[in-house]
Amino acid sequence: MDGFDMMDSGTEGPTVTIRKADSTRADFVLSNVDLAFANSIRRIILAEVPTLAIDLVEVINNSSVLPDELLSHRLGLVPLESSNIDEKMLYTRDCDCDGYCERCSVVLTLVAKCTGDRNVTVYARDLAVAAGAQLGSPVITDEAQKGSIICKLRKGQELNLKCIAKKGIAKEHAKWQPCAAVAFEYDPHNKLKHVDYWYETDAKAEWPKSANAGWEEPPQENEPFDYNAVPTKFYVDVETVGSLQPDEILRQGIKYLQEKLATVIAGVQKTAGEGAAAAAGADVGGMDDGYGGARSPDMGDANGYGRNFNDGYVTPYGGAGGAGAGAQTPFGGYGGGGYSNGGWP
Amino acid sequence: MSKLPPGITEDDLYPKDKVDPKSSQPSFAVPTRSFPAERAVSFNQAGGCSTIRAQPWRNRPHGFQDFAFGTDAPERFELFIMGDGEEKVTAVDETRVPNCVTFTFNKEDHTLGNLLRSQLLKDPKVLFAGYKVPHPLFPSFELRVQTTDETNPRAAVIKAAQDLIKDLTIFRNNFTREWELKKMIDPAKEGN
Repeated sequence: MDGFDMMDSGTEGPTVTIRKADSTRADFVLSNVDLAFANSIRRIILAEVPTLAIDLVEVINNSSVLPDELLSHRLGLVPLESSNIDEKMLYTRDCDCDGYCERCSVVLTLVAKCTGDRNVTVYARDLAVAAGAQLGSPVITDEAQKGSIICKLRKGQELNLKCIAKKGIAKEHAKWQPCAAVAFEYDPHNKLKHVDYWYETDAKAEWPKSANAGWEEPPQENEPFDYNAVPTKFYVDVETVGSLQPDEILRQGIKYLQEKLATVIAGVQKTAGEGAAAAAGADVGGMDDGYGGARSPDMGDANGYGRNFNDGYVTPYGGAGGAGAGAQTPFGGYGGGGYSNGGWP
Repeated sequence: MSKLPPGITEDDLYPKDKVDPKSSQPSFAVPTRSFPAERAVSFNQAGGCSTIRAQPWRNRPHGFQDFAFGTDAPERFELFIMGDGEEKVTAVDETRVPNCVTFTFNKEDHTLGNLLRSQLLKDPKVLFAGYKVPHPLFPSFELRVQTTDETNPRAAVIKAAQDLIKDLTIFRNNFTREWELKKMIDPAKEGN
């Protein structure tokens, strides 16, 4: 429409330059987006991308020096292979079973005993995944192929544990976090003055340059402050714990953010429906039908797309045309400006 | 309770009905959340925060066990799982300002709030867009939107969400393409 629209969501859209890509790191520059967009990506990959982690531990025998609770906590933090978890597993709360079943959990067993005179170290590799499980093997990245240490046993001490791993997100507990760290920086030269550097005599001399400083023009000598400038270039470094590949974390994060926005559309449309019905004195009860499911991040449709949104809004994203067409129906009754008249008796 | 002076009852110290709102109104809303619903109501009757707008965590239906066992901390999954009968979005039309609606998003946080706010501000038909999280312990935020007469706040929010979904699709496609390219150029980096 006008130049304003073109600038942000028009021709180009978010642009990505990948600086480093391997199985545990994704270091990239995200540009042509605003701070809120970049930060939402960061927040969602940290907190709302599901993985698998041990959630329940049945202690059959534990004669080690570690109390059951501490051992369970350590087990919970062991990263488990979780790729394509949405296609393979349900959340236990969305599953029909009582307790847990193979559709919503992976069972790992840990049996270890020290019989010799030398102490035995129990590693993550000693966790045995139940046969037939599609995912859930402990992530092992060290050269010796041992994984993280769980416990040490002295002669005669024994561990016999049944661990039930479940799908979850880091908002509930950090053990479900797919990212170890997400580095996030913008404006390395501090041209926007979002940072106020403390200094003894000269901030420039005392503070080291950011590693990203080479990617942007340094400020000119006596350059006037541009009070209209906004950050547009973001340096993101996603470091995983190994349960998911970094590119999958990002794609999943984007998917969940889109689903969030799709529930916004459905929810806001619903408030419009209620307002209209209430104004007309109509019964709203019918509108609740089939909507109750829209609450959970993953209700069980294998691909997770477009489930449980109200009819007419089946694919909230992918096809722009589809989204537009679906969104128009509830407003048909309003017409231009009709809404505000309705709201003002 | 220590002994009270003669002629003074407990009601005098803690009057139930005549309360100076300034002195009794807590400067923060924390206590009401950690009580069960019945207690929150009596808190209101005592002249507490009854003037504050309806807050979703008050009088909230108890679809699941309210508190983690042995503590008064709410279950962590209450940050993102809707309780029984809860709505994702509720809207209150602002009566004093034309074309203005305050949406309350339940079980959402800055991830969505700030994203929607900044996208709405790019729309020239939006006169005002702002969000706040009324209290950091409660997973909800309020988004207030005022538009010109050409559109209405609901349509503006829906348009913002649609534009963001499109942007995210572009981001995903660009990222995937660049990722595959990088892997092709630099296959040695694959694996650990």
